[in-house]
Amino acid sequence: MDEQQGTSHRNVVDAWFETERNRLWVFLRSRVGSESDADDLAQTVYLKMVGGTFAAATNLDGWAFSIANHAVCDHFRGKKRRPSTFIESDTAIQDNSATPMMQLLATEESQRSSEILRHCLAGLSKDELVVMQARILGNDHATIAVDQGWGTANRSEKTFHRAKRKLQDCIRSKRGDDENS
Amino acid sequence: MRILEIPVDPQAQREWLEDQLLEPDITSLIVELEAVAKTHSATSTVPCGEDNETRTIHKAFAGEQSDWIRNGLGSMSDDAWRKLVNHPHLLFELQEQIFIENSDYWKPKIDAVARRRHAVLTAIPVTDARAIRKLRWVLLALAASICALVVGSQVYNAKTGPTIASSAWGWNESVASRTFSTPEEYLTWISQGANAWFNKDPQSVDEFRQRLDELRAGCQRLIDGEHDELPAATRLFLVARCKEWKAKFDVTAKQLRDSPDQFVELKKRTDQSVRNAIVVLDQMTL
Repeated sequence: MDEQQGTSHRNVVDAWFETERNRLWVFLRSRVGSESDADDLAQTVYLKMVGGTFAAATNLDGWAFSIANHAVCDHFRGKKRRPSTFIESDTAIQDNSATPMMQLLATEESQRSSEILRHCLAGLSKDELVVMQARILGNDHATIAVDQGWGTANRSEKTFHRAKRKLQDCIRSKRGDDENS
Repeated sequence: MRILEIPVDPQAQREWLEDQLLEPDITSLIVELEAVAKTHSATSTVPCGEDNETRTIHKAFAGEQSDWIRNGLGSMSDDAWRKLVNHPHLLFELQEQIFIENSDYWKPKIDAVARRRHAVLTAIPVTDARAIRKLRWVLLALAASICALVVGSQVYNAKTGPTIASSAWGWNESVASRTFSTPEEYLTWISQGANAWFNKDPQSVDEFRQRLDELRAGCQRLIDGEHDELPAATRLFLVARCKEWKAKFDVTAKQLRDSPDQFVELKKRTDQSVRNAIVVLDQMTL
């Protein structure tokens, strides 16, 4: 990139960042959960955009958000929340079959949350599990009652609330165990 | 657990999901849904595992998602909802597409989230400004004493050699006597101003508070500055970044007031923020 091209690229990136940084920040905050981390990552994305190159025909928004996705993954790796399935081999991290987004689900923290939730779901009775899953799939209590042959929606509703309380207690207890250990 | 808050009414469900796509930590929601989906696949005959058909939103929804990306999730069918809940990793891609497309439907929602955050950040300097206005007369009275002290200290320094730390460091230094032949030179001066933060290592809460206040004051000077040395686009960019840095430092100052015992952690965080600012400034000079 010669000097003139470099300046032109910088101007394009600066102009994009100036108008779109709020959008980028909301996206980053949604991915990392923290406002402060989103601030830092927005700066990282800007720097990568300035330092990178893109073809004139490239969709600038798409390019920027692709950089943002990778920055989020680098951020989690930097926090040692690296994908536990990739711990043994650094080269595996670059495996193209695992998209940056999917790697987020493989971080140690995500895997631990998933493990706890699955453990707690396994502690529900069969009825409680059925109602819980049906509710998340979008069914109302009347439909669930009909599907289960329970007569009234009341039974489904009560079962759901009992399951909810059991899950919350179980998760709280497991999280407490983690903190104590 | 966020999945326990999913509303019963289908329309409310779609609205709830729209909010989730803009709120912090979508990953934890996806983790929750994945856990339920995996438990579900173990107990039912419905296949919930990853397959080619659900690898991308395009394959999973065959174009139906275009309408959600343009016009919101209101038109999402019950089948699509179920598929999304059973394959929640698709939410990552859906969310990314929504942000890239930035349609007339989603843009005001995204802007509203950003505005809410802006309102929180700007509330802090306003409070500070009010406090400062109340203290204006006290400050004026103190100004004369400070002038006397400065003159006194200069006389003292002239006699004894060591300098007494002045608040006019970094971005607080006057630019009036300097000349810059290029924008890069000017940006380098600003970057060096940020670097001056590390010339001192405050060891107590009070020292850190004073240093941080000076940093914030310097930041405000940059925000208010003319920056005639820079091209218009770079000037705008610099001021926008300064506002962000100032907002962060203001939040840190507030946290320090609320929890002085956190000062070591807050100092570390400020060091990191200044380092990040220096990287941005140095990059701007390239």
